[in-house]
Amino acid sequence: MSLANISVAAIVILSILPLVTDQFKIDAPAMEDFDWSFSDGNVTLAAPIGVNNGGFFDINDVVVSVMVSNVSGGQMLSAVNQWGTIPSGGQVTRQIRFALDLDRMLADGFAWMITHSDLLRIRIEVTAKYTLKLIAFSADCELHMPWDGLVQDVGFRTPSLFNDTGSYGIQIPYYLKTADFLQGLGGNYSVKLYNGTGSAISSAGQDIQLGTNYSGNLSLAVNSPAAMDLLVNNQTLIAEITVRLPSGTEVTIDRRIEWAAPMHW
Amino acid sequence: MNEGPLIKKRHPVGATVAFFSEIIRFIVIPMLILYIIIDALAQSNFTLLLSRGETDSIASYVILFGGLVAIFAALEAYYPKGSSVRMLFGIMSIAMLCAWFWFILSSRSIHFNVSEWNVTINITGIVTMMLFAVALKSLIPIAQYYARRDSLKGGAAKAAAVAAAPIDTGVAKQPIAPESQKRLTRRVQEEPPPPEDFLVSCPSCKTKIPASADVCPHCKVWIRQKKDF
Repeated sequence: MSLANISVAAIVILSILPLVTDQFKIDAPAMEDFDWSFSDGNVTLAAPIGVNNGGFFDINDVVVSVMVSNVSGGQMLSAVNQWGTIPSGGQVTRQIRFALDLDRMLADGFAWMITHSDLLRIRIEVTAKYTLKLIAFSADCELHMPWDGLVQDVGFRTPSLFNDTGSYGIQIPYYLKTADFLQGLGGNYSVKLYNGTGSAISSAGQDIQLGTNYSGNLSLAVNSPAAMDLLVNNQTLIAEITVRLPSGTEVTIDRRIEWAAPMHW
Repeated sequence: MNEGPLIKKRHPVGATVAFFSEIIRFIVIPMLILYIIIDALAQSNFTLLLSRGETDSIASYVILFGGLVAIFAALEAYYPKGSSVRMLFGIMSIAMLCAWFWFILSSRSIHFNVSEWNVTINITGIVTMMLFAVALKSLIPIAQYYARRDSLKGGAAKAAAVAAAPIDTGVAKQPIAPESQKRLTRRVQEEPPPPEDFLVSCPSCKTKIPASADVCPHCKVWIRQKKDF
């Protein structure tokens, strides 16, 4: 009987001791530890998370769950990783990796986040069993990660009308800023232009480099009546900009251009 | 069971000591831990998420069940070992101790913050194991009770066996008067004589001794003989 009491007391003390003496630790990733990448239409985030078992017993049934939501609480992702057992005295560091599928984001109502900044709330939960599975343990933390969007800024400088050997066109200098993790990837930039009455007057596109502060000139051919209208009438043009990412995902943004007619009086 | 002789063996001092020692163990020390250490932890990085209401609830359990443990432990100590009342109060004391553990430790999970982590620990499994270990203590008064009952049964059986056994007086070779034989038989049936009665040989050296001898003529051992009956 005394032996049973002593055994129980020993188990209780050996269970509590590692917690009190900081021998049992979970290292949550810092914001700068996250590695961003883009492939196959997925924005992938990966970060290391470490569990140090300095206690006397193995940690069993370790499960790491990741839940991602945006600032308004919309659930974007939920992933579960089984880590199994961490032996006594062992330290395990593994990558937690989760991917945000752009097509799914668009379908689930997170299209706003493609072109606007937001905040990712990454909730990491570690559940495990300790002391011969007698103690159920759960630890969670929430990391806040700024989300800048994939297409962060797009716009035009002053457009101009030109006449190139009898054919008219509009020269539009544009700029585009995309997310850093798209660096090295190629995309396509196209514009469809509507005049003040809502009629499409021209469209054009060109290949671009993503992941940088990209700028370029887009020449859009316009027919003679449209060119004459642009020549003499001030109006608000609507530019429907489409940025196509390598995965084929297309992001469409509308911009207004206040057109100042060169011969307006 | 006849517990007449045990009535004299009650322990008021032991009961008082048990009462106050249990009060200290199960009320005073836990309350100190609850209020002083938790307050100290609240000022450190190790934040135990325990509201004032929960703390008060635990304190009320500590006082209620700790008080009952002390009362039953005192009553257990008051009654003599092996008595049925002591066994009853011993079991009740352990039952209250189990309730004390259960309501204080397992009715809630432990929540605390360590740096950015919110930690929740469910200790129901280990508390159940502790309860098992505590419950084992209830075997002590039960074992004491049965041990005493067996010893009383054994004593009675021994007495009955002595009464039932033919009495070898060792004087069979000598003629006994019929009246004496009758009185001897009646006396044996009424109450078995002590074994040292009617000795015909020395219990030490086994030498034959005279019926009236007080001292063995051979080894000089003193012998108590029953002279008249």
